[in-house]
Amino acid sequence: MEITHEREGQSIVVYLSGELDHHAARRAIEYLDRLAALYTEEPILLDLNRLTFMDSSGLAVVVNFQRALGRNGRRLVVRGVPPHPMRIFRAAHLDKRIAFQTKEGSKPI
Amino acid sequence: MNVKNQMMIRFESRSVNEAFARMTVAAFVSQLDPTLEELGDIKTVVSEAVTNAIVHGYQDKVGYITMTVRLLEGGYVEIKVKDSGCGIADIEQARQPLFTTGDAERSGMGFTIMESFSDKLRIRSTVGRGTTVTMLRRIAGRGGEEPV
Repeated sequence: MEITHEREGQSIVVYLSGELDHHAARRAIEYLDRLAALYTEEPILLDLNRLTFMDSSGLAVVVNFQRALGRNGRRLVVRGVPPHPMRIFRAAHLDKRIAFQTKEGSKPI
Repeated sequence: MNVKNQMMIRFESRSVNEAFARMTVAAFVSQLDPTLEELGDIKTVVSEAVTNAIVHGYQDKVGYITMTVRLLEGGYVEIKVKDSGCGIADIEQARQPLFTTGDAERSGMGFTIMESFSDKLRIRSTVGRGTTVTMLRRIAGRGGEEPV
């Protein structure tokens, strides 16, 4: 599991790569909490395109990040979700509660 | 259903072993020529069951998890994940979406995901003795026919 972030125009894009399971989740949550505290103005995008595996611990990571941003009135946008992690979001009915960015733009929650 | 092939492994309840468990099962099940989606589902249910044993079964201590995988006739895979941890007092409550006794890394959706990706899911637990989760899933395979 690798986490990196970079500036893309006005936004901060966070990349999660590799396998996001319970073993990796704590470090991911801590990293994303620090990021939410550090970048308080910029729009934040979570890019999951490089994930090779995700289970329900990954849902906890995304929901925690969404909550951390929401505490100061900000919204998380998630993009590039591979097919299997998207099956996890759907099985948990979280696909309706998370803003996914598609090629056409950001889908409303 | 007759057993065509089977394997058993036993490992310590350390989170680093979650990836080991799902990769081992994926390698064993690959003889059924599963689709990527089927393989992803199998890896996910294994990951959820093993994580439950680590986080909820053994909590702060380290114990053994025994995993048995059986390939049955008709292309069915049966995966059994057994711990000797604290057990679950109320299984129905544990199966409820968003219920968790874990911390921030758990979403409370583990059983919901396992149920979604299994054809059958059975949980047996005795407080103080441990929990056994048994999942059954049919693999149609990339050929879409009975592979075994």
